[in-house]
Amino acid sequence: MLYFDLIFILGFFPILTFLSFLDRSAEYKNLLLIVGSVLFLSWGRPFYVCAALLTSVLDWFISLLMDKIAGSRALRKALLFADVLMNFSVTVFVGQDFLNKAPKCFSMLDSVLPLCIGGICLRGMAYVFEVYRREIRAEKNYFCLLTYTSSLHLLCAGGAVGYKAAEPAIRRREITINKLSRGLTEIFLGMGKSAILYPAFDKISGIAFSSQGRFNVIIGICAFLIGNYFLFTGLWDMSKGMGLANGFDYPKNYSHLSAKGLFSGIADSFNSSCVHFFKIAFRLDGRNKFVPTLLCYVAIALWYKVSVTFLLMGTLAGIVCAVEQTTVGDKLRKVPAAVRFVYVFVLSTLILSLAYYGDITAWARGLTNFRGDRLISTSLEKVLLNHLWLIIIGLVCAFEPLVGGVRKICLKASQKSSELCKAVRYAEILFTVLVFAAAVILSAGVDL
Amino acid sequence: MEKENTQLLSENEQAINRLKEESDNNTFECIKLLILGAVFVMAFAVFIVFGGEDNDTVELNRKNLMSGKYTESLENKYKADIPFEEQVKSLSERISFCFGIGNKISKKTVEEEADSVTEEEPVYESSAPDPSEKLLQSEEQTKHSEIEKKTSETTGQQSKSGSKKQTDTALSRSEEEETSEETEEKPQDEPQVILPSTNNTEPSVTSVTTVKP
Repeated sequence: MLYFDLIFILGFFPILTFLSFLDRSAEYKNLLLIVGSVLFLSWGRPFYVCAALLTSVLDWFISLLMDKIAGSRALRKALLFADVLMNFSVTVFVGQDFLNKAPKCFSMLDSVLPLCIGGICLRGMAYVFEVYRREIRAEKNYFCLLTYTSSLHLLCAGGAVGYKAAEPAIRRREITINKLSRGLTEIFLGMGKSAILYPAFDKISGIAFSSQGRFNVIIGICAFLIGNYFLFTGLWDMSKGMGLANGFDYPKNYSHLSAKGLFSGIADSFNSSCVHFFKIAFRLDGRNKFVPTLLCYVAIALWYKVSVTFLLMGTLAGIVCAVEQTTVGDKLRKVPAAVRFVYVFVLSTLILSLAYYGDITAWARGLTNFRGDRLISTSLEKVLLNHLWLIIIGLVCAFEPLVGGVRKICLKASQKSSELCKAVRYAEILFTVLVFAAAVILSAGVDL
Repeated sequence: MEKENTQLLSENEQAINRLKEESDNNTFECIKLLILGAVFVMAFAVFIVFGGEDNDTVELNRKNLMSGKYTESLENKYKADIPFEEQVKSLSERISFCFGIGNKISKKTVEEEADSVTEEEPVYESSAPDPSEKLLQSEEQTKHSEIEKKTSETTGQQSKSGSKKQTDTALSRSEEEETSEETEEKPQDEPQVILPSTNNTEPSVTSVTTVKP
């Protein structure tokens, strides 16, 4: 079961939300959230998720021990190391066990569950890390910690939204009209991304790779990357929306694609809370940046999947980011935007496409495959035309300059007169409703 | 004094404007919540109220629960019980039609809509099958088998010629796929059979093939 499955969005979630309104106490809401989350997580795979949730018990014990032996730094370090080792093992042997059964070609859709289990472990690790750094005191109430680690909307809202940020809402929940309205908007638009845009780009990449044309591979890789961007950003939007409907307010876990921040900007814009956690863990605020940056991106890549391909991908990304941050970054930021865009595009295509091929030789062969009589195959041409408006909408939604442009136009229009302002706002509501309706109908159409 | 007064007035005006903006925002958020909430509740109600009533879920026991079979059957049941199947299908096709240039709405959907506009077929009172209908059905079946034989012969020839092509480049393969898609879109090329019937409506034989991209 995924967030955009109809059984979840039009069955499980409304019932859970309705039940959460029956009592105002945070304890009741937490209990309901734990039960709902365990049910959601264990949907079809009870054993694996129970194993992952057990780690939260160990995290709790370790954090309490850390608090008790506040004086001994070596012991605290040893405990932190033990916790990292345990969480890492569960992520790899329990979570990524699913990935090992999956085909070589990396599919984000198949990796949602492994990444969710990885997310549970990462949150546990982040909590212990916060206790180790003395940013927070160890949590005495285990159920508060369990709410944090198991919460179903925190699964995608960020691999590592810190306990410090989530604790106030766990202790005292406040659901306002503003939060509810924002939450529903996020859910509706996220559903649109995951159920309308992702399948379209997925179809384009599938056809691009299966037919012959000189530029088919490039289009295929772009469609693969943008499609997965929409799948995950859609899931994150939905989880943020669900959190808002339940009284939590998390920061966004991604930012729109832009060449402004160079390649490291692109790498950081995706799953930003996870990247932020690893950056703190590897102390990227220090003077010597090269090695920690490299290790940080290697760790992030391995968190997605423990394999040689991902190790290589992480290493390549780490080298580029380290070089950008230590030497050439400032110079590159001064070059014209078009050149910067080409630089970021080429590097992203080269490095991130490794995830699609899943094998270095296949990757090398695929990227050099410029055979074919036509620039793009007829079948790809047909699919591109069939999804033309959707592609344009997708590109506008994904890239920061385009999103910013649309936002500016709307803002200018709404500032002209109060009537125009109202019109813009109602158009926004209409758009949200239409997106949701289309997403539900399309999902139902696929299921039938 | 005058300066101070004008400054106070402008400050008051600014504060009033800010309050007005805030109240406007709150009103808008309320309206937004009402609309979005109503849409959400409606969608939820439609799927719950108009869903099917089959209870063919797997028995709830420890083994089924731990293997994930029970939850899987629940999910399948929910998917199978989606209400207004035909309408949802045609709507999803119409939505996909708006995605770009050159999309087509399948003839079936158009015909279904036309059927819904025309008169409904007469409903026979007795539930027992009519003997003349049985005879007609057996005649239809024999003709069907004959047609199938003929088509299998012709497709066999085609596959033989196609097997030669398969040794060609991948480009020709993709072109073949495209041509198969094109023929799929032109149902007038398919063999049509007109059979005698007791009703005035002509029975038609339609074959549906799905070609994977």
